[in-house]
Amino acid sequence: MNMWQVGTAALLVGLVPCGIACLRGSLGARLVALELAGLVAVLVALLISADSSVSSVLDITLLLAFVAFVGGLVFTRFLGRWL
Amino acid sequence: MSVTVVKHVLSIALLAGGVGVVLVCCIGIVVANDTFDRLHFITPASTIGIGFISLAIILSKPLGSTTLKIALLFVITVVTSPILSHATARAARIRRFAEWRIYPEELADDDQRERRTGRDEEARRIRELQASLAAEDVSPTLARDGGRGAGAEGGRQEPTRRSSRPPDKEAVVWRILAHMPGLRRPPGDPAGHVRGGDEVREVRDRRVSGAPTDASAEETRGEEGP
Repeated sequence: MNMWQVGTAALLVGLVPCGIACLRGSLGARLVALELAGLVAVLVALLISADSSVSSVLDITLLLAFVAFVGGLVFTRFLGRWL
Repeated sequence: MSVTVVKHVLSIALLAGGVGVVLVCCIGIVVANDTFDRLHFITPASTIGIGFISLAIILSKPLGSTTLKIALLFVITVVTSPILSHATARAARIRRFAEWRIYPEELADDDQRERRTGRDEEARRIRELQASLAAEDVSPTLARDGGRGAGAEGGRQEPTRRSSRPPDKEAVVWRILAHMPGLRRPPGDPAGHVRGGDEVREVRDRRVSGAPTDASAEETRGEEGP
């Protein structure tokens, strides 16, 4: 295992607390945990792209970062208005 | 040691630091239960965490399109994360208090609380004035000439209903602004906007004549001591 794979494994372990936090607390607190999970997922994708020799994997990471932001905003809007 | 070895060691250290920061944030978000407490753990991960990891990758890879993409990813994350945190905090506060405003009792500083109370008071007065204008529903012409019609020489005339003419917005705005005590605030009086118009004029007249104002009198008493 090289260092990128070790980092990826460590960050994947970090997704577990985020998942636990998504199941506890108020709706807003769960949303925050979901946002952090999205950020961790972006970092995991970044480390996978660093390990990979295919440069287009990084495009997926960029797209994931953008989608995580838009999805978080949509959830926030929904939370503030309808829930 | 060659440059390659230094870069390798540095990238390992940066990667370990970035991953460590993110893991600490993940643990902290489980420990904290409140929404606003949890929001504090997003910021280190989205700035320090991704910054260290991006730098580690940039150091270990040759310069090229990959470097640019990673820099772009870092910029996107750093820019969008505060926006998302703010939107989440706003939604959570609106859910809790039903509106997005600061209550005076939430402010720690007395001066801030006084300013906030003054702004709320001004907003309340403007709302009342707008409501009274809407209730009067007089035509703009009557509002300008004080309710005297062209044919009635000084006689009082019942206000007519609003005509099809568009309202004179400037006159209405000036009528509202005339009731704002902040416009009559004398310079150098930070608390003047929370007072009524007569009190502000009184303070201003005292300053012009050289008489001590309430604030300066209190200061003088404080300097004299018990």
